[in-house]
Amino acid sequence: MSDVHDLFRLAADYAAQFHDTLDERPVGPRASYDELVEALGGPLADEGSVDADVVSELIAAAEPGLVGSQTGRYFGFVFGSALPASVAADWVASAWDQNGFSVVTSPAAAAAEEVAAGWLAELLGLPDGVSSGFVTGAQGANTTGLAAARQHVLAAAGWDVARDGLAGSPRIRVLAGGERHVTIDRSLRLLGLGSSALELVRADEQGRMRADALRDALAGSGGPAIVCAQAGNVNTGAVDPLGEIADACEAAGAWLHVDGAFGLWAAASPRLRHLTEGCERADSWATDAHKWLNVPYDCGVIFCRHPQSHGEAMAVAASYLQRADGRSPSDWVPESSRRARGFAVWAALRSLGRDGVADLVDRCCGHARAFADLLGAEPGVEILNDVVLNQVLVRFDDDDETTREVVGRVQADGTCWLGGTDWQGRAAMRISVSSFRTTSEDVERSAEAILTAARSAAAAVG
Amino acid sequence: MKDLLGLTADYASQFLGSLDERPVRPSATVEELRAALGGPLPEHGLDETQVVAELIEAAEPGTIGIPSGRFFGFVIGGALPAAVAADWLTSTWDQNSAQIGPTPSAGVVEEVALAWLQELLQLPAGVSAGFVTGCQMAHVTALAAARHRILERAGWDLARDGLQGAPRIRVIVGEERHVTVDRALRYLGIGSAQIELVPADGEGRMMVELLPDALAGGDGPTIVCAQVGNVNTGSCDDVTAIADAVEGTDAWLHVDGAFGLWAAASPRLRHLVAGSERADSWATDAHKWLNVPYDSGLAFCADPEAHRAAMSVQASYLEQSDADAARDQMDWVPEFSRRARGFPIYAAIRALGSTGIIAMVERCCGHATHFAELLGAEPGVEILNEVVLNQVLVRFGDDDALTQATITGVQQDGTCWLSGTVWRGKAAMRISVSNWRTSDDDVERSAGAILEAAARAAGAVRAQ
Repeated sequence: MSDVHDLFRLAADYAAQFHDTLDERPVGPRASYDELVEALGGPLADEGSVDADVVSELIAAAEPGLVGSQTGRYFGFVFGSALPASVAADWVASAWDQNGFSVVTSPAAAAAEEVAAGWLAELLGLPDGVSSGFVTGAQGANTTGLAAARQHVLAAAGWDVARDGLAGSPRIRVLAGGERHVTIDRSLRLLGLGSSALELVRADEQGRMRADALRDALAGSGGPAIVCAQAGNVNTGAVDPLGEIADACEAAGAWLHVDGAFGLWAAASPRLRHLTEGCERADSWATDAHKWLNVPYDCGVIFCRHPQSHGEAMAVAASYLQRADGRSPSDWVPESSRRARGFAVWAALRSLGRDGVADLVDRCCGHARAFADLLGAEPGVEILNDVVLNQVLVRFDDDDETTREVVGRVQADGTCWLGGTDWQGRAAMRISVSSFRTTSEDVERSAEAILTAARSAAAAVG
Repeated sequence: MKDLLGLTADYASQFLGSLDERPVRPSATVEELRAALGGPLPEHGLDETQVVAELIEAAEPGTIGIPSGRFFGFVIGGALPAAVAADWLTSTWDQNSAQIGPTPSAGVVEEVALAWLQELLQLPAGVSAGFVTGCQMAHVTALAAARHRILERAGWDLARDGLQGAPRIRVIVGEERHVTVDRALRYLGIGSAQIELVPADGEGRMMVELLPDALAGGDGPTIVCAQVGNVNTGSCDDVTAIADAVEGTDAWLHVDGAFGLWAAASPRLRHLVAGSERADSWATDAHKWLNVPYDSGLAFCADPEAHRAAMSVQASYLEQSDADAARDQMDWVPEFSRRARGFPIYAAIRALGSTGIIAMVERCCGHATHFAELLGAEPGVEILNEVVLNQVLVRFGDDDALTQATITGVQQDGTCWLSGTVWRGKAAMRISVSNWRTSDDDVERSAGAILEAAARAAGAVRAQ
């Protein structure tokens, strides 16, 4: 197997060198689309190639088109990085190539998920006895949580959706904040609930659902209802008032689902936990592990207070609760055959420990505040949101064009990477801090690059 | 980092290099694994090299030898070394492969791989594709596209109005379709009562002569699901006859080809899946017969507009590509943030080339035939299926208990691993050959172990 050893060593040496040089690399991609097509494309070859050549060529061709989400100065979207221990564990998962379908297809994958799910539920302050599933991301987690909700609220109305489907079923009301994440709409569509079933509840200027508006909307509603709350708005980082929302749902008998792709991780920090207070009263929770826990893509987690409804919505067969040999991982997710996602999560939690996770979350939020301080001190630069978590919205000269120009110049400069957004009708730069690698120096260097871009943009636009 | 990853690489090559001497079954129970991996949530961190060493020590005994050439359980497939290495790069680069703008390399490899796969699997030019987690989500994707299109034809706006109040959809499937089809329909809000079964023949193929009557037996928006590669027998539906029956109706034809669709890559086996190219959508796995690491599946669609309408998403902060100018990966799958699944697929196809893929598929089928010959020659051993592809069903002493005891005996022995099934009411051993690594020697060693286990099981029964 020395060929395989050489191949794997080649990959390992390259990966180590890639990580070691992150600091010197531009954060944005360097190659254009056409250059990448030229480098990677071509007709389907008849003959194969030596493995080491394939890997070397892939590296040479693809690397210029990578985005440096692994660096400490990537602030685009809410991406997260990957902890070394979780990368290595993910490599082991690929080498073992376990199918995390069931206890039979991989006892190790099943056990690792069970242990990691227990640790996560504790870390996130969720109730004892929640069921859990390791999915591809918060999109899959929202789909799973809302499928469980659909099952549950229709069963309560005397309708068996698994048997009779949605055509002809009692109508389900779905209520979500005006600033919910788009994955909610997408999950609902997949589940056969159209946009007309979705009632938007007014959000405040930070993007938080107004609990009073929810109460009004739910008043007099007796039928099946699902409420989607949010912990961590994708632009501002704001968290809905979950305690008041839980009160309203309880009074109306509605299912409460919390989309906490990254915001739910505030619960892992004693200093930030107050933000997600009340969250433990929900019926289902969706979050990502590939974002703030910093495991490699892709990995999300769904938790549910109602294992019966969760299982009925998702399980392969009806025997899901009676499995003698233990928890079958695929009974709680939309996938059947699947990657053993538990290993990387286990390794991340083992390498950080409870205090390491809290520190990671606190540190990212501290960096976000530092960004707001550094940028906000500059004349003409406005911070649009209350920086409560890891997100910062920045606007330049109160002007859409200037703001977009600054974003474009920062991306072209390559010191750091971030994107733009449109916040309540105004263009903004969007900074998200979610990497374990980000240091104070990264923040300072990046803030400087942003301000330099702002000055040159003002000159150009002005 | 260098030490950590170097150690991991050394371990991985040593692990794969020692497969020949390891029992294929797991050597630890779930209880033992819980004890080894579990314990309270750790308060403090741990050095990463130590973490990985502990993970390997605790979890390895609970792994099953899927990478081994003598793993014949389910239809699982191994992982080509180049695909494993590319999967490592995928984890290392950690690209969020949602959109081509922010992660161009991840987007471009999918485009390139799409074109190669379309050619390999003999699908029509211009098909769209989504790189999903596996055939389960490929069904979800393709059937969502189907749901969108057939309801639109019925004048219903699914995206706006959902299924509540919509015309009732009929889904016509073969009696021996895979359970993932039912599961996908359940997610999509189509209930089991909406599924109409067409009886299957002795090999599990839909009895196509009954399909026209089934289609005529109701009205409304209709989806027909055909299967190429029954999970037990490997048999393929007569897709030409199915496509003929569907043609001229408004029904959507979906093909479940989790592994069977790969027969299309082989000029010798292609006849098995003839007619598949006439379908509206196809679901298959890459982690099975293409031998890339878990998880990886593919949804193809001959109606890209319906495919995209069923999956795509808009949001202000995404700064999306112009749909006509570039392909955003997430517009074709149920996922949003996602692993860059294109890299290992790309590497697998590059490493093998089309001739290598054809050879791998044909070799696996040859091994299955060899199994059937070696085992079927033994008195009391019956091969229950026509071995047309990579699946073999074996029954011992025409007896459920003896067959089950033989399977258990083989699993415990550890030379190879396979599992049981119930085929048309009879217990059977199920052998699936889908690993690039499997050699003639693996087949012979395994057949020997199976026959020994059968003899032991028969001896135990006689002794009772």
